[in-house]
Amino acid sequence: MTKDAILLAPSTGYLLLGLFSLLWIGLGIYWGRRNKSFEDHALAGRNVGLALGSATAAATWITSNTTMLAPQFALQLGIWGMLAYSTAAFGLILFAPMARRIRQLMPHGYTSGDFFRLRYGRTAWGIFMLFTLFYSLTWLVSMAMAGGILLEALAGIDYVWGMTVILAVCVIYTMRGGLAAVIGTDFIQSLIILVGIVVVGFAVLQNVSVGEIHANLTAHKPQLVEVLFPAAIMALFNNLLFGLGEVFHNNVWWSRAFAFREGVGSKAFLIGGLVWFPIPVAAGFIALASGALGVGVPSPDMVGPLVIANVLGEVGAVAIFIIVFCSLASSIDSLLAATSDLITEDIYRKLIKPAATPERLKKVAQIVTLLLGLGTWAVCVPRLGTLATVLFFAGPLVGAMIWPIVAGLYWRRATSVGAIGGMLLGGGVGLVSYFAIGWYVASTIATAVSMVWVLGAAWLSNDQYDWNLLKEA
Amino acid sequence: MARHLIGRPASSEATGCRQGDRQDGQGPIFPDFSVNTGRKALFFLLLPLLFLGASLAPAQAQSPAFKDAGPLATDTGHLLIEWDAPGEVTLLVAKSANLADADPVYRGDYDAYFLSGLADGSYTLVLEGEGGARSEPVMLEVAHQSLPRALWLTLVGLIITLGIVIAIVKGARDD
Repeated sequence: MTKDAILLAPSTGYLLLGLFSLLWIGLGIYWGRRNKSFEDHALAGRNVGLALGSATAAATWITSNTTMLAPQFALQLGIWGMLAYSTAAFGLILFAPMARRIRQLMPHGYTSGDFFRLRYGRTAWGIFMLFTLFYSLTWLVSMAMAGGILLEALAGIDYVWGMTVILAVCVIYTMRGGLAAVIGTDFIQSLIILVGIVVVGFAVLQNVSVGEIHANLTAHKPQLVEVLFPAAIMALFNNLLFGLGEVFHNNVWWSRAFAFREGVGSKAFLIGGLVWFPIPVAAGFIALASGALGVGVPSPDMVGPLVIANVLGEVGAVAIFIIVFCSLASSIDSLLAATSDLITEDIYRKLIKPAATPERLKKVAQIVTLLLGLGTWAVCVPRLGTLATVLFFAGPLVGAMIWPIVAGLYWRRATSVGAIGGMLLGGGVGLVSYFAIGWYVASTIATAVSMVWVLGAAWLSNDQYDWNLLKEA
Repeated sequence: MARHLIGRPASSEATGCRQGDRQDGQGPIFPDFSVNTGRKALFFLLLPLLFLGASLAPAQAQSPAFKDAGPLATDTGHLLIEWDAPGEVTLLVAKSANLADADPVYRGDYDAYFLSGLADGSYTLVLEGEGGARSEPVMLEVAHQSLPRALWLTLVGLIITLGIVIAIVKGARDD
């Protein structure tokens, strides 16, 4: 047997794939039927309530990485690794007050690109667009690739078929339904994922006690329960800052801040963060139990599915298949919607056709979604393994954007020089440290360098930015 | 190595005979038309099976082998170990070179195992096949990253995070 373990009969896999594909497309078309303008399509009419808002925040943040990479973190870095992954919840929790501020400063805003252009000017906006498109597109490609690989590993579904179906389903319902469809399907997907993870966690505990897991780790993998595990304690704040950078800058989250009803954003992101926090702990716990359960792990990213299938048999394999499909769809649809909005608003409307009608903009957003899907598919077909690892280069880039965003939202004295220097210097030094030391320090160092530059520039500046300029968007 | 030759026919050099000779020195094995037709037919029927057996036998008894002959090193205590083996294997990890304290960390038919959670030290890795055949040992050196540097970077991370929290919570009070 190879590293690619097949846990489910391909016929069952195809059946589940077909059923869930029909469900998401049907719901997407249903929820998108009232969309008339770009505002309806991109921001769901700016009228999303608390329940849907909280669910979409949690579901979008539960990617296939949460269900696959969180167990891998625990297997590699032990208890600290498990907690390090959970710290990404602070991205949502700290974005809660920022969402209120964003909505207050930019009541007519569409994208995070609008903020950079109006607050810091074209040069900073250009750098931001470069960084965020790199991050979004590599995330999109890595999710689609992960989808194909996981469906093949779980049910023997051919990689190209699995990847194509997941992408096609997400493209169809995002094109038809826009953000309303994305948020609606996220609500159902988040419920399925949460119930699945809780059931699996209890099932594992029925088979092995916490005491047995600890004894097994102490005897065979002592470093995983070691308090002073160097790589793991470095990963703690690095992952936290990576998470903050991802949420603070990306249009996936800004579009939701604009879409949520007045007063909903701060509560929805807080609840979403609190709901998300225990999920990597539960997923990581499953990985730590692998040794005590006698499950051999031939590939670290497959530890979660292998343990679940071992404990729950075919029912577990079906459960992990559905959880993985839901977590992939909930992230791919959000990325497609947010990235197409960013390109439509920041490039098409602002640079090419400022006089475009709302109906025309909606059409353009749909075409961009389709093109993004086709482009992602073309990049994913050759299955180049190195592409997925490129996403980790984004760690220092997103870390370097934290301080320009926080300072720009709250301080009149924050300057363009500070934002541009912070992003370029932080991103550059962070990338160097990525290769010189390791991924587990790159975001920390990038954020530190960016912070020093942004704070220094603001301290030396006499600027008094007029917040009303942000209302233009 | 001797165990690689289990099941293989002995070579002509080893036996001192030429091909086609009987090993008892009674003349050529074939063509020998003095034997009866039934025995001859049986001989030609069994001949392909002999060749088939000869070609399969070495594979069954082949020793497992690591894909990377090492020595291996890691500064995080984890790495993926891969191997080639015809069937089920046991991966043994020991701190002593003579494998006296060998820990069987994996037994099964996968061709890889993700080893993690290793503390600082030197380890010897050995694969044991179904028939007891063992691979060449591979040395693994685990030397974790510098703890003082890790603690400093953690402190830096804490300070940055506190700065961000303060900036957001304090908000725009001066506006």
